[in-house]
Amino acid sequence: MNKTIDDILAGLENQQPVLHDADKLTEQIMMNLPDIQLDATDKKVVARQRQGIGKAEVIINIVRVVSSVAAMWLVGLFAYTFVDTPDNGNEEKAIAKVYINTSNEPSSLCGTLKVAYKNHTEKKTKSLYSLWKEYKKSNI
Amino acid sequence: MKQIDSEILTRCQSGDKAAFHIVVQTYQQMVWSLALRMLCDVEEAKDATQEAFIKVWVNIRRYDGSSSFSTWVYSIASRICLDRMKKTKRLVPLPDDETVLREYATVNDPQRQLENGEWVAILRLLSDNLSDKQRLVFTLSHLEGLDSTEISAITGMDAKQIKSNLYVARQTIREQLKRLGYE
Repeated sequence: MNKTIDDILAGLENQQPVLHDADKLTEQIMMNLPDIQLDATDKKVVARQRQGIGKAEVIINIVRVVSSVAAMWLVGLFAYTFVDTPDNGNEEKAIAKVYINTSNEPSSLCGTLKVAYKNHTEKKTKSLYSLWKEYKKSNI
Repeated sequence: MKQIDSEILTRCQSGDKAAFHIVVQTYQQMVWSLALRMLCDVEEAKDATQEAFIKVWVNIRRYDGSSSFSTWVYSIASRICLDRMKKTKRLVPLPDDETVLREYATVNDPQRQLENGEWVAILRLLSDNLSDKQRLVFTLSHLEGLDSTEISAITGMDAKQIKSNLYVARQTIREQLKRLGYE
């Protein structure tokens, strides 16, 4: 035997096995490649993404409608509450009817409104507007 | 190691099979060589090469460039080889393998190229008592000529593990050759 262990190992290190039918193997590989765009996993991912986008769009549209309605309602309420109606005796009806039950919680009124309240104790319920009118008469 | 143009990789990542044809042509020999040395079977090495490139193609969009593309291809190919080695029966040297080695050892021609059948016979004989990991590290380091950084990126082993696996592999092969009468 001419070669030593080191010679054998070095000989193996310095050469490569040769693939003789490389083109045939390349063609086989290319023929068996799946379509990367139509891969099953990708399809699922894309479908999930589409579902997610669809859900998000529905939620956004609902939020848009609700916020629009709320905004319109608030504007309407604002206009209805602070409309400058003529002083013809019907103003109490024209203004928002926010009543305070004075018989139950008289101590909740404070400051100058308390004075106005005392001038109207004979009534069981009063609107804010009537209290404001009374306050105006006595102070302005 | 061979490297491929980043433009070709970008085209592959967008699903261009013509670009992937170039990738296959560039790395086919490298993958097949590793597979043959690991699996010691010409046909199974071809199957493993095919499987490796299909896996490369399917996962090519996951390649982030953190390692070189050839290292990434090597890591896929080596995992496939290890999986196939687990599934198949342990390689046992054939009686003729020793004859092939003896013929190789007696011819003192440095230009002599081993035939694929001779590669299979010699490696089957030499790696008889090696574990799968030792065989992989020995193949990558000694036969493919990769450095420990590249082997670490391919196998996921740290430098210490690579060193110890390589040491044991070399010692085992030397002992095997000694048993066969070589010095």
